[in-house]
Amino acid sequence: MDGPKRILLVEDSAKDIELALEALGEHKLANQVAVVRDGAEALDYLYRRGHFANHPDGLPVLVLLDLKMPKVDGLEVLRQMKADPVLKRIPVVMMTSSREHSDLTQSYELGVNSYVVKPVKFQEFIDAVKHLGLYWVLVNEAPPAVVSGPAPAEPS
Amino acid sequence: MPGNSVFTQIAAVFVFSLGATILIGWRLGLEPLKSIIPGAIAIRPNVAAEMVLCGASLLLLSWGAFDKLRVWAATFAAAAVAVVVVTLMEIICGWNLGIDDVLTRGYAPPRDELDPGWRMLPATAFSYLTIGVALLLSTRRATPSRTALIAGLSASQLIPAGLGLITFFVLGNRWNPLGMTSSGVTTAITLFLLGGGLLVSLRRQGSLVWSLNKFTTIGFGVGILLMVITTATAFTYARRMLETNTWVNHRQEVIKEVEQSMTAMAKLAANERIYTIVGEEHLLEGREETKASLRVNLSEIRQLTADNPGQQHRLDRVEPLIAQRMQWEDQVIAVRRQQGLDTAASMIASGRGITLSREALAILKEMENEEYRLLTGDRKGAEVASNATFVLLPLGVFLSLAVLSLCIFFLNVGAAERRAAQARIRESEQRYRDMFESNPLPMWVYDRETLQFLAVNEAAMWHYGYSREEFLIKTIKDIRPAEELSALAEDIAHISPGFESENQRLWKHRKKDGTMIDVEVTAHDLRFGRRLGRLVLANDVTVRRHAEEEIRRLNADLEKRIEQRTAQLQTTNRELESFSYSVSHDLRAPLRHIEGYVELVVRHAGDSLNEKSRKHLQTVSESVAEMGQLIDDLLDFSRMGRVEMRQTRIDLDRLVGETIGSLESSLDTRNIIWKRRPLPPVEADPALLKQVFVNLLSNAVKYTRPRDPAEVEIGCLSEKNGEAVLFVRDNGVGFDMKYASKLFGVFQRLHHADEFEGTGVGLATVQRIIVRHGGRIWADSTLDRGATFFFTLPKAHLERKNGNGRT
Repeated sequence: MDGPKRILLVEDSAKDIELALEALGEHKLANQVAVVRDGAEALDYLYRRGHFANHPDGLPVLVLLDLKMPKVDGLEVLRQMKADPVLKRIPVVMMTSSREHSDLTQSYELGVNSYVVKPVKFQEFIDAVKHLGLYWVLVNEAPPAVVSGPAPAEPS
Repeated sequence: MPGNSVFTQIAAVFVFSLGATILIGWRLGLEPLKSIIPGAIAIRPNVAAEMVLCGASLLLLSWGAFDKLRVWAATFAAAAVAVVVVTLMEIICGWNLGIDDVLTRGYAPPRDELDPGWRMLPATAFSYLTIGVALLLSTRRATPSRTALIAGLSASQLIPAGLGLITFFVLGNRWNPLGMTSSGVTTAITLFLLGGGLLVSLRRQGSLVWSLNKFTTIGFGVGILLMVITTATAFTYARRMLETNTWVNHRQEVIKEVEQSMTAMAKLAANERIYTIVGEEHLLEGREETKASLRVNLSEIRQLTADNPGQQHRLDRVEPLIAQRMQWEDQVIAVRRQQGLDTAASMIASGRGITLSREALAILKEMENEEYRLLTGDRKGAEVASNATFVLLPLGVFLSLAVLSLCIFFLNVGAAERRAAQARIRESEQRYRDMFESNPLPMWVYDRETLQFLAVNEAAMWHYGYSREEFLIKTIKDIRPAEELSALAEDIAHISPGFESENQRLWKHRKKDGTMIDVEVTAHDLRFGRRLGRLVLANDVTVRRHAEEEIRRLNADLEKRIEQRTAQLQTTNRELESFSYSVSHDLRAPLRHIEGYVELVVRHAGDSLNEKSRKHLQTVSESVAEMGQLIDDLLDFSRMGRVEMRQTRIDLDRLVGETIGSLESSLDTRNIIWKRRPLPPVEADPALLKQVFVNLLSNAVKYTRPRDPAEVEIGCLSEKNGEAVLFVRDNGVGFDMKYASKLFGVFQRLHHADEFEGTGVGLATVQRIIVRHGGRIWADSTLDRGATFFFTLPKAHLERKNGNGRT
C-alpha cells in the first residue's frame, strides 16, 4: 500500500538503505519513503528537476540526510535547503556515522533540526529510526507549506 | 688680547712722550723742555733716548700678539741695552767713544775731550740696563724662570724708584737718603713706570702670580724697608757729621779772628804807652800795619758771622769803640810829640783810653764766648749723630737680616710644602693619566673648535693603527667617513655636559689601514687646558654588530623554516583529520552493516537456527561491538592530540567531585571508599582534564573490582615551581613494575581482556593530555597491592585566570 512519499531518505549506501527501510518498515513507514542515492539526486528530487522532474510526490515532511556522500554531500544539501525560502521549512535529520565535532557544529549552524549518530547496535539503530519516524512524521505537526504542497498525490 | 693692559700702555706712552719731549727740547734749544721740572738741571739726551726706546718697546709688547710687533719690540730693547752697555764701559774703562754727544752735536757747545759732560750717570745707566734686559726677555716666549727674572729685574727698578719718589715728595729735598735730585725725579718716574708696566703686563698674561704667602711677602717688605731706613738714617747722620765739621772750622776761624783783633788792640795800646814814655819816633814803626790788619780782622768777622745776627749786632757796637780808641791813641801820640811828656801823661791819666779799650774788649770777649758756646753745641750734635749712627747701623742691619732670614726660613718651609704638594699633584695626575692611558677602550680628546686631536690613549693607537704623532696632527674628520660629516657637525654643535645615555652614538670610524669599523661612542665636553675639548670613549662593536646581524638573519631564517614546518604540520594535521574522519565514518559503517545484517538474520531466521549458530551470531555481534568501542576509543585518542586547548583556571575539587558523581551512578553495587584530599586550582583545558580524571578514576574503579571495600585516594603531593604533583591511588590489583614502560602505550594492556575489559587506549589518552599541558605522568605499583598514578599540571596563576591556551 504505497502512499505519498512523506519521507526523503538520502543515503548512498545500499546496505544502509536496506537497514533503514527495514527499521522504518517495523513501524509501517517504509512505504512512505522516497530514496535518493546522493546529494545531487536529493536536490533534483526536492526541486523536481532532471531525473525527478515529474515525480508525483509533493515535498516530503522529513528529510533523513546522510552526511558523507559522493558528488554533493549532506552538508551542501542542507545548506541549499536552508537557503531556500520554501525548502527551509522541511525538517532535516542528519543520520550519520560521524561523531566529529566539526560535523555536528556545522550541521547545527546550517539549521539542522536533528542530528543522529547511527548506533552500531542494530536494535539501537532500529529504536532510533523508530523514534525519528514516529516523532517527525506522526507526532510533529508538519509546517503548512509542506502539507499544502502543489504536487498532487498520485498512486504509483 | 693677552697681556693687554691699559696701565702698561699708558705708562709706555708717557715714558715715550717724556723722552721725545726732552729730545725736542735739545733739538730746539728750549731749556724748559730739556729739564721738564722747572729749575732742575737738564736731562741728558742719551737718557731721553733710553726713555724713547724703552717706552716704544713696552708699548709694542703690550700689543704684542703679533710676531712682527715682537720683533720691533726686541729691536728697540736691544738698542736701549746697547747704548747703556757702551756708556757703562766708557765709565769703567775711562774711554770716550763719543756716543754721549751724538744727540747734542751741533746744538750744544763742544766739550772738553776729557770731560764728557753729557754722559749718563752710572746709576741711571745701570737702571736702564736692567729695564732694557727685562724688556728684551719679555719679547721671548714666557717660561717660568724667564718670567721670574723679568719680574725680579722690573721690581729691582720699581721698588727703589718708588721709595725714592715717596721720600722725595713726602720728606722734601733735604732729607733724601738716595741723594735724589730733581732731575733724578724724572728718571725715577720713568723707571717706576717702565718697571710697573712690565710687572702689570706679566700679571695680566697670567704668567706672574703671587705664590708666596702673605706673611713671607710682608716679611720681605719689612726687611727691605728696614734696610732702606737704616741706610737712609746712617746716610743722614754721616752727612750731619760732615756738616758739623764744617761749622766747627768756621767757628774756630771766627774765634781766631776775634782773638787776633784783641791782640792787635793790645799791641796798639802798648805801642802808644811806650812812645809816650820814651818819645822816640822809631817806636811808632809798624803801627799802621797793625791797624790795617785789625781792620781786616774785623771785616773777616763780619763776613764769617753774616748768618748770626747777634754777632753782627755786637760787631756793630764794637767797631765804633775800636775806632774811637785808635783815634784817642793817635791824639795822645800827637800831643806827646808837640807838647811833651807831661801833657800826654795827663791825657792818659784821664782814663778815657782805658775805658774805650775795656768796653771794646768786653764786647769782643762776648763774641768769643758766643762762638765757643755754639762750638760746644755743634760738637754735642755731632757726637749724638755719630753715636746714633753706630747704634742704628748695626741694629738696623741686624734687624733686617733677622727678618730676611726668617723670610728665607718660611720660604723654605713653603717651598717644601709646595714641593710635597706638587709631588702629590704629579702622583694624582699620573694616576689619572694612567686611567686614561691604560683604559682598554680607545679614548681621545679633541678640540671642539679645530676638531684636532689633543690627546689619545694607547688603546686608540693600537686599535686604529696610528702613532700618537700621527693622531695629534689629525682632526676627528680624518677618521670619519665623508657621508657622516654633516652628522658630525650636528653632533659637535650639541653640547653634552654629562654622561647621559643619549650621548651614546653609533658611528663609523676609519682605521689607518682603511677598514671601516662600527663604534659605539660615548662623549662629553670638558675643558682641556685652555681649549674646549670633547672626551670620546670609542667601543668597537663591529664584531658584535656582525654577530647581531647574523643572529637577525638566522632568526629570520628560523622564522621562515618554522612557518614552513607549521604549514607542513597543518597540512599533515588536515590529512590526519580527514583520515580520522574517514575512519570514524567509513570504518563504522561496515560494522554497523555486519551488526544490522546479523540482527536481521537472527530476526528473520532465528527460529530455524540451532543454539550453536545463534551463539556464533552472538559472538559476531559482540566482536562488532568491541570493534566499535575500539574505533571510538581510537578516535578519542586521536582527537585528544588535535583538538584546540582552552586553558582556564580549574577548580580540581569540583571536577573530581563531578567525575566521581558520574562514575558512582553506574556503580551502586560496589563498595568504594573515596579519599579526597584538598586539591589546588590548576591551569588546564576543562574537557581534556575531565577526560583525564574519568580515565584514571574509572581505571581505579575497574582494577579494584576484587576489593571490598575498594579504596581510591585522590590528592596533591606537592606544589613547587609553579606545578602541582597530583596522584590517584587505589588498592586494586596493581601491576608488575617491569611492565611499567608499556603502561602508557596505545593498545597496551597488562591484564587479560576476560579479567578486566578495556581497549588499552585510556592511559595513552591520559598521557597525551598531560603532556599537551606540559606535565609528566608516571606510575608506581606493587602487584596485588594497588597502584598510584602521579601526574603534574601547571598551577593556576592569578594573572592567567582567564588566559587562553594554544594548540
